[in-house]
Amino acid sequence: MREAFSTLDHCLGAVARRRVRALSLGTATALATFACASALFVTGALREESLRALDAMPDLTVSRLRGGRPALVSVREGEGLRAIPGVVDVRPRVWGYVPAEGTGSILTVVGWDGAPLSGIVRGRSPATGSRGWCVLGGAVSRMLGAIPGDAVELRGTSLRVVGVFDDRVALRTADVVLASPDDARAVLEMSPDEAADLAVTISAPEERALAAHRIADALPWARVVDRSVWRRTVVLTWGRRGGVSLLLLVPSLVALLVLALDRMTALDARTRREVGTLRALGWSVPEVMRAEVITAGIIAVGGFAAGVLGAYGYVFPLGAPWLRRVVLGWSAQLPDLSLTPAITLADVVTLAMLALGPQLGASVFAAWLAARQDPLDALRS
Amino acid sequence: MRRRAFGALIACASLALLGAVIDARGRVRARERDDALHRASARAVGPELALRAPSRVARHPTRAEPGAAMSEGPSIPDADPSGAGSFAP
Repeated sequence: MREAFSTLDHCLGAVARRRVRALSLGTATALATFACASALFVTGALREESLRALDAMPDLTVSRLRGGRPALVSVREGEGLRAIPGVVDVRPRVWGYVPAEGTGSILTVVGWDGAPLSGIVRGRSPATGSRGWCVLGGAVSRMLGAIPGDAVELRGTSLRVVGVFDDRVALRTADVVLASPDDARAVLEMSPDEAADLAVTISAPEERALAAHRIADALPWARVVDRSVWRRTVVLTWGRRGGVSLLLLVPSLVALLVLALDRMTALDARTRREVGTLRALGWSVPEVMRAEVITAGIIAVGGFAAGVLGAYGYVFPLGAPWLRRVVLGWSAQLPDLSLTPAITLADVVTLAMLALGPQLGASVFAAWLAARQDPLDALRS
Repeated sequence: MRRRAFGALIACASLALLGAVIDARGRVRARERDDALHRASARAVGPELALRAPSRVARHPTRAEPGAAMSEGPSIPDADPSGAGSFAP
């Protein structure tokens, strides 16, 4: 114990004596860790958020591809799917996009299928079967300056705002205009027999794949999206986006490695004398190496901790300004980002390997270079 | 003296870490409290997040183009059928 404290004392002294080097290395480590951790934290939180509500997705989503592009489906053709074994329900869905004139942004118009809205809408919920109303997403409401009671006009269709989606659900509703299916069709210029896609409910999860094949056989134009497949797609796409962000940071990690190697292997006269004194006092090569590695570890771990804590504060309490534009996309009306941390042990280990690995590797090499000097030569230098 | 300063530094870092853990737990609990709201909103307007690119308009990637909402970005391969496999200029 006493020996451990003495070694720690020596290492802390070494950090204090080489304070400029310690400060530069610690700052570089903190910055590199901060950049990597921010990207990982944002993409991890968004991946989990994307996965959480996937249960609300239909078992199968059937859309039409025409010339390789999504096209409208016929409601009548969809009715025929009910005859396929395992299919319990087929629901046509009306949704699409319209530009908000003069604002440069695009609204998502969704036809309401009667799903309960209580608790998520400020204002009143619409009555089933009624027309002429709309519920706006928070970002749309702010952009149009419309509140409940106001009238908005979309593509020649006048709608009365009856409510605004609560900001707590802005991650899904920020750019939405919810209207009755008939009004949504009018805004989106769809005929009464047309829908954007078909939501298919299957009797048992194990029949999903078989039903998807049967639907694809029955409707050669159909693209069938299985919910379980989409779950995998979400994980992969967010992983890819996080991976691309990390890839962009590779130069900074390489720079950190070069800096660490340069700083640690450039033995100045003072360090040489220090190591020579230790060797002359009877410290063995492994003992000198251990002390040098601990010294480097104090600097690296300090910088790493500062970087991780800084990234947490930047991503969660501050909402990742700037980075959100890169990771989220280029929308004109992104929702306010209120993310829930989803930091796993694997994330921390990955960060530690990226930020600490190169430095500790360099420190072992530098320690070996320092320790193998002849003590007399080192003292003379 | 040096050891005391180091101890104080460790204590500060531990406090900051504790603060982050408490904040994270608070956020997770708040999210759990609002879980019913998030599920209701997903049922009403779809489960996808309101993230999209105005150039490709892919608010509902499951219903439009696979992965489109997340495949837009500098130097990311273009998954759009009009330019499958090619890189953005």
